[in-house]
Amino acid sequence: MKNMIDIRLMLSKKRLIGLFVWLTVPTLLTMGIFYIFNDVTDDFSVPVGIANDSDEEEVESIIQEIGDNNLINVRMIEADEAGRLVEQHELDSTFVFDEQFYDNLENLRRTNMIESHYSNRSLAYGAIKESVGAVVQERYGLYYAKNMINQVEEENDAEQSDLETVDTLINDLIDRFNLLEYEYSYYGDITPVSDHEDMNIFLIWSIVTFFVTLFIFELIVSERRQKVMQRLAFTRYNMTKYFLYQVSILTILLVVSDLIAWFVFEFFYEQSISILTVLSVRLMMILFAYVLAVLIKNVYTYLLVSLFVIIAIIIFTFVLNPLFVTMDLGYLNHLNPLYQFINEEITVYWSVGLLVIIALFWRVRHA
Amino acid sequence: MKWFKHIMLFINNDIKLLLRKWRTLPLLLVAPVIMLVMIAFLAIRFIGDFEEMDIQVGLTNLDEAQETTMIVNALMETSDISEMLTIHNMTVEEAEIAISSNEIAANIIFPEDFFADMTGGNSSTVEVVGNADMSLESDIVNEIVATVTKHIRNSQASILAIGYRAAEVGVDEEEVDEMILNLFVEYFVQVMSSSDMLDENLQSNVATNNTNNYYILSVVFVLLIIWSTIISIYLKGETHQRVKTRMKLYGVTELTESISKIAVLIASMIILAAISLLGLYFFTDILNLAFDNILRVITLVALFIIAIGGIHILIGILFDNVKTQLIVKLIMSILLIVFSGALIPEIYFPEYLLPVFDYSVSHMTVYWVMEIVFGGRFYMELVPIAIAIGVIYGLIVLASLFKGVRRA
Repeated sequence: MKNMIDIRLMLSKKRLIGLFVWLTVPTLLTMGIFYIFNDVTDDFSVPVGIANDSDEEEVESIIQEIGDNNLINVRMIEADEAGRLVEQHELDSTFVFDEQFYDNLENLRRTNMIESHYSNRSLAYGAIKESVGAVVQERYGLYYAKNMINQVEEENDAEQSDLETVDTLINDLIDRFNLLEYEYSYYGDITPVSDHEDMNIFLIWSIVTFFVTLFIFELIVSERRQKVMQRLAFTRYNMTKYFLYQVSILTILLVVSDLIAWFVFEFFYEQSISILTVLSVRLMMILFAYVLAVLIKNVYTYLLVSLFVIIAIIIFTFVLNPLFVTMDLGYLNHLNPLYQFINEEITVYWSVGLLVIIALFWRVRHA
Repeated sequence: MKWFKHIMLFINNDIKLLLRKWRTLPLLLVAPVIMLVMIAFLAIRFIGDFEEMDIQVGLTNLDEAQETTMIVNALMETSDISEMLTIHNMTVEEAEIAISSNEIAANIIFPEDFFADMTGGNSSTVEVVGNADMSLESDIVNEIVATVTKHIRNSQASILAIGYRAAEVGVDEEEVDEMILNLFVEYFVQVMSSSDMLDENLQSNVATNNTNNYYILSVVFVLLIIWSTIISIYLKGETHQRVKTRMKLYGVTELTESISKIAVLIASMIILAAISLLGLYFFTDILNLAFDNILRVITLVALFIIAIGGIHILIGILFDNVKTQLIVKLIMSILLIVFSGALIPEIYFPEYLLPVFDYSVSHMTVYWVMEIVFGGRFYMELVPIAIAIGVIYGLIVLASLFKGVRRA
C-alpha cells in the first residue's frame, strides 16, 4: 500500500494542488449555490403598478400595506397608463384606485371597487390579485364593522363611534379573546414539510460532488494512456490491481471531503442527513465514475460524457421529478442515480447495478 | 499571403474535425431540441392536470349546532373551494380508513362547539389531517383551509366587536346572537368572493395574445446559445504539445488558429440559425413582418452569433486546462441564458441584478428582436452590441498575441 501512495504522490505531484482544490469544491460551491438559490431568488419580485387618484390618507396606507408584501414591488403610476404598461409588459399587472374608491369603501359598495389590468403574460397575476384583495378586504371589514355598529347605535340612540374607536375595539378583542386556531398534520406520525423551509443543501451538494467525482476520475482515464503504465509490467502489480488501489486512495480522500461537508452543513446550516446515507451515495458515485472511466478511453470524451450525466441528473431532479410524481410515473425517478439519496434513503439499487456491470467486465476479461 | 493560406488550412481541418463526428454531432444538436420539447409537453400536461384537479376531501363536523352546518355549507359552496375539492362527510374513523387506502387527500375537522366557541371568543381549532402519500394534494387542501381560517379570524374579530358594542348599547342578548349568526354567514360569502372587488381588464396585443409565439422565440434563442456551446466544445480537438511546436516552426500563430476556429464556429451557427429562422418563417407567423423588419431581425441574430461565437473562442484561448474550459463555457452559457430575459423577463429580477442586463449580449439581441416582432417597432439599437463585439474580438487578438509571446 505504501508503494501505491508513493506512486500516487509521484504521479500527481504536478496535480496535487489541483486535486486538493477539487476536493474543497463540493463544500464551497454548494455553499455558493445555496446562497444564490435561497437568498437571491427571494429578491425576485413582481413589479406591480398602482395608480392612486384619491387624496385620502386611508388609501395611501392601503397601498403601503400592499407593498409590505415582499413578493410585490410597487411602483406608482398614472391611471391612464395602467393599460399600456401592462400591454408592453413593463409591469406584471396594474391596479387603479380611482377618485370614488374611498367613497365606495366608506359606503360599503365593494363590487368593482378597484380596476385591475393584466395580460396573458402576467405570470403572477393570480397570486397578486389574491394578495391585493386580502388587504383591501381586511380594510373593508373594518368599515363594515363600523357601519354595522353605527347602525346599532342609531337604533338605540347611542353615541356614534368613529373608525378609530372601532379599530381599537377590534384590536382589543383580538388580544382578549382566543380567535380560531388552525392546525395541519399528516395522518400517522409524519410531520409535513413547511413551505418556507430552506432549500435542501444536501441535494445541491450531492449533484456538485457527483460532478467533482466524475471530473477527478479523469485521472484514471488519462493515466491509463501515459507511457509510465508500461513500467507496471516490471512490478508485482497488474493494471487492474494498480487502478483498484488508486481508486481506493481517491475514495479515502473523497470520503474525508464528504465528512467535512457533512459536518459543515450539519452544524452551520442545521440540516441533517445520516452519515450512512452519505457514504452509500459516495460508494455509488465511485462505482459510477469507475465504470465510466473504464468504458471511455478518450479523456475529452470522458469529460463530455460526465458533463452530460450531470446535466441529465439536474433535469431529472428539478424538472422531471415533480412531473413524474403528478403523472403517477414515480418509478421512472429511479433512472436518476441520486434519487434514493434525495429521498434520504440509502443508495442501493444503482450501486448493486453498477457492481453487476463491474462483475460482468471481470468475467468478460478473464473468460 | 502565407497567413491566409494557414487560415484556410485550419478551416479545412476544423471542418474535417466536425464532419468526422457527423454521426454524433447532429444527435447532440437535436438532443436539446427534443429535451426542450419534451419538458414543454410535460409541463403543459402538468398544468392541464393541475387545472382539472379534483381533490377528494373528507369533512368531519363534530359540532352539532345548526349554525355550524350552515356556515360549513356556505363555505363549501364558494367557488374557490368547490372548483377544486369534492367534499365527503365522514366520521374521524372513516376518514382514517379512507386516508390509509388513499381515497381522500385530507380530512378537515371542525371541533365540538365550534360555533359557540367562535362567537363566544373561546379558543377552538380547525384541524386538517393530511395524507402523506398524497402530499401534493393534501398541501393544496392545507393552503385553501389556511386562507379560509385567516379570513374567518378577521371576520370573527369584526363580528365580535359588533356584538360587543350591540350588547353595550343595550340590545338584548337573543337579538345579538341572531345578529351575529346572520353576520357570520353573510361575511363568509363576501370574504370568499373577494375577486368581486376587482374590475378586471385583460390587456391584449400581438405579444400577449400569442404567448406561445413569445415562448417559441425565447426557446430559439436558448437553443442558439446551447448549440454554440456544443459546437465550440466539439471544435476543441486535442492538439499535442509536439504538434503545436511543429506548427510554430511553420509560422502558425495562435491568432491564425483562433481566426479559423471563429470562422468555422460562426459558419456552422449561421447554418443552424438560418434553419431555425426558416422554420419560424414557414411554420409560425412570428416572422410575418415587413421586409425591412425581417432584415433587422436577421442582422440582430447575425451579430448575436458573432458575439457568442467570439465569447466561446475567447474562453478557449484564456483557459488552457480542458476541465476549466468546459466549466467556464457551461457557466457562461447559463449566464447568457438567464440574463437574456428570454425565460424570465427582466422585470422580475431584483434591482441589484438589473445592471447585468446592460452588459449581456444576449439581452441586447433578445430585447430588440422581441420589440420588433411583438412590439411592432421599426427600429433597433446596434451600438451596444457593436461595442460588445469590438471588445470581445479585441480581447481575442490581445489574448492570442500575448499567448504567442509567452509560448515563444
